[in-house]
Amino acid sequence: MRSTVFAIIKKDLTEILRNKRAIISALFLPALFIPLLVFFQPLFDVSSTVEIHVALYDYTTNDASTNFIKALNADERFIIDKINPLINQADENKHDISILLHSENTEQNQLMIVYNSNSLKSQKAYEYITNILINSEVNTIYTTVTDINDFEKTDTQSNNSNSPFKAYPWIFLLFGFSGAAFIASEIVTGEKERHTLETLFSLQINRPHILIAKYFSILIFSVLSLLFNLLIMGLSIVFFNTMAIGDLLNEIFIVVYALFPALFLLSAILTHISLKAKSIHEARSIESVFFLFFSAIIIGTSFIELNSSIYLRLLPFVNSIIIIKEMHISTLTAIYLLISNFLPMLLLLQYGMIFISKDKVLDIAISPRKGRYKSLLPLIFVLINYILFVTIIPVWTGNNFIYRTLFTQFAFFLLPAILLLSLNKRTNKWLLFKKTPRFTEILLSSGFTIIIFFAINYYQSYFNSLFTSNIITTEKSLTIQGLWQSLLFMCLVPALSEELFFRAYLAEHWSRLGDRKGIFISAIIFALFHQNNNELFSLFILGIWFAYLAFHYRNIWLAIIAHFTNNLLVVIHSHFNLEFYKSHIVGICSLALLFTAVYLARAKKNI
Amino acid sequence: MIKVDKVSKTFTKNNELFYALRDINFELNNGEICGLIGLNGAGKTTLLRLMVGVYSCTNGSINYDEQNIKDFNKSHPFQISFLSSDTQVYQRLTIREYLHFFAKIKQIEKYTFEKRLLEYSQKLNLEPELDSILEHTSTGTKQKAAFLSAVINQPQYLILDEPFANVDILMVDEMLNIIKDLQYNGSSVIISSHNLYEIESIADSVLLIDSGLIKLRESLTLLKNENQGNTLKSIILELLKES
Repeated sequence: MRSTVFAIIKKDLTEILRNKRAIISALFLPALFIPLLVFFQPLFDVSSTVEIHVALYDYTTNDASTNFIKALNADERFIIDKINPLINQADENKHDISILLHSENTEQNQLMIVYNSNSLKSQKAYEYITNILINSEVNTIYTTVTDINDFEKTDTQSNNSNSPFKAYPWIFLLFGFSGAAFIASEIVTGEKERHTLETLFSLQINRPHILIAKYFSILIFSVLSLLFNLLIMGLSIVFFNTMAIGDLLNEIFIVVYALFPALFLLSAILTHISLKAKSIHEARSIESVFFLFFSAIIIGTSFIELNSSIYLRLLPFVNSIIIIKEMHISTLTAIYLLISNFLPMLLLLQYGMIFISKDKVLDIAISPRKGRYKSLLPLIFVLINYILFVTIIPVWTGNNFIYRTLFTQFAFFLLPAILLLSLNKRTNKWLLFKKTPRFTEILLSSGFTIIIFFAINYYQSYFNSLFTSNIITTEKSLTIQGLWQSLLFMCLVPALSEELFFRAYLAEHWSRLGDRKGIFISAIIFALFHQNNNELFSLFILGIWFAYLAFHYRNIWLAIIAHFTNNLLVVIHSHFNLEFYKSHIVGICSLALLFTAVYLARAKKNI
Repeated sequence: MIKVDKVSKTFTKNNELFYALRDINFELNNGEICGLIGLNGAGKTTLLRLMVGVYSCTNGSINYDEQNIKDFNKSHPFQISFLSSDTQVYQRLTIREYLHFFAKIKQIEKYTFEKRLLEYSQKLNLEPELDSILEHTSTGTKQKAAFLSAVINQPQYLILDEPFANVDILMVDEMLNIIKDLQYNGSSVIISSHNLYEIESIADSVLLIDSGLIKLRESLTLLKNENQGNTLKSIILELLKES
């Protein structure tokens, strides 16, 4: 398989590199544009056009300080509020920067600047003020600069973006994207149009392999064009001298760090568009509309100063919510942002919800079994079970965590499952451990569970930070127990009993309405039983994934293994106090991998 | 041996079902060359595409050595080669790269590939053009390159759809020689062509399709004996006029 994929990638890249139009439009046109962008960058800089409010505490009487204040007043960007501490105080929301002038004697001054490192405006104000300080020749004994965040840790999450030019990375994403877009239409739709794809089909190559090869060709070329543009950017910044080398390296690091995962997803979307299109022209026009829309969002959002992490903008809808929540912007802008985020949101939804919307992906229906409920008994049973579960568990405050887990697992899940399975005559063979899973299947199920774990927890940590002030931590009882006890009672027992109850019995029972409905209903019940309102959606996704594994391979073992892997990760994370899932690179990478995997699983039916 | 068993294929055209092929039955022995003849739209290309698995049959089955196409491809990878009539070559590769790509996919060893490339390119007079980009070569050269990509791994079953279009008469003879060599090694070949002269000179048997049905399936020598040594062209013309 590998040699086939490599051969196709090599062929595609050779063809692209011989195509002069592709090289010009994907590499050289952006390269011409970048120096212009760098040159006019100060115009795009938001803080140069906006008024900066300065809070000034003045305790001096000498000439040197009046010179400095005159210079400040002369600069149109500054609006100075003189503050007398006896009457009023600096307002944190209104003033971007505070300056305190104090004199020991008549000649020399002491200057204290307080700024906010989270605010781009405040950083810029600090830069301007130091410039004025140097130019107006104020004699100071010493100048102290303090970051407001050092003594007021109000928001710890938003500390990780210190880059002064936030729009840059996003504009580069556009270049990577435009580079890939041309190629995508050329090597996917072009081959379709020229009938050369048919030759590959008749060679009896596995169709997913062709798709994977095409996807990687597009990815490689988009990475190439991104790197090329980065190089040009670096050179032109050095040439026009608009940024210090240290800042430049920092900037490049951010671009690489944030955008490469995003390119995975973009290449997948491009492959998808090109596959669906009937001709090169159609592909190009759809791609250019997508491109325009995408750039409108990026340019629209990147000019708004944002206190949150830039990586969050990869999730467009979250982006607009945060902007509206935190930035106190006008209603009109809010509406614009929501509308401009609508299409990518739909795309994301489409790719995210594929699991339940497309029968083809799941490929579950081996034999459609349709029928009506023979009895409502299971439903009533589940209801009673749920009511008991909800009422008994919170009341039980017994100290022994192990007994509690054992009791709930056995009483509510394992025993009913065994009982009901033994009563049910139409139980399928795949439920009853008769099939040993293959090694590749085990590897696949646990591997994907790890990706899903990181993706879901990344989403979850942001969800929690958005809508609740306190981030809900996992059960504290976990850390009290020893690792081995946790492994046994938090991982193995729940995996076994919950899988048997939710998947082997409930999902199988409702699959008489159709496999997809069975999976869906069991996942809802699975999420409800965990009694955690904030994590309902995550648990629902997990429920769907476990049920999908069991149904797809007709083997309950794989669901148990996946469930075990997931719980194991939770236990390890809380035991060792790890917080990998909060890392953006892990989160974005796993999300991108997940979308890519779903896309590939789906698109191989389309090709 | 290829066994085509009660194969039908339907398409929908303007929301109406129509049969492109109806109940096709025939067998192709090992080492046999069969000429597939038919008018435009008779279903030749559909049949060939069904035989290589680009389309799937609506009814019936096609078996290679008593295995279906998928299983046969698994047990004997790349032993069915297909040259489509509207095959386009990769415009921006040189002929050598183009053939190397196919050799790599068909998992031919490098030494064997070099040897065959030399042999075939000498036969087809492609040697001076091996390193020129296909976009700048003549239509005939492209057709020759496409033909070579199909035979480069000396497959057990070779299915050719209009292989001689745009190729000059000298080279057609050379291509026929290559096909005969393959037959000598035990390959079965199906050639669809409108040029009956070539089919007459190479085929062991003919298969005539008319509007999705088999009209004639007979060995060429028998057919000629029955018709007192008439040319294939006149025999086929008579048959088609009858219907």
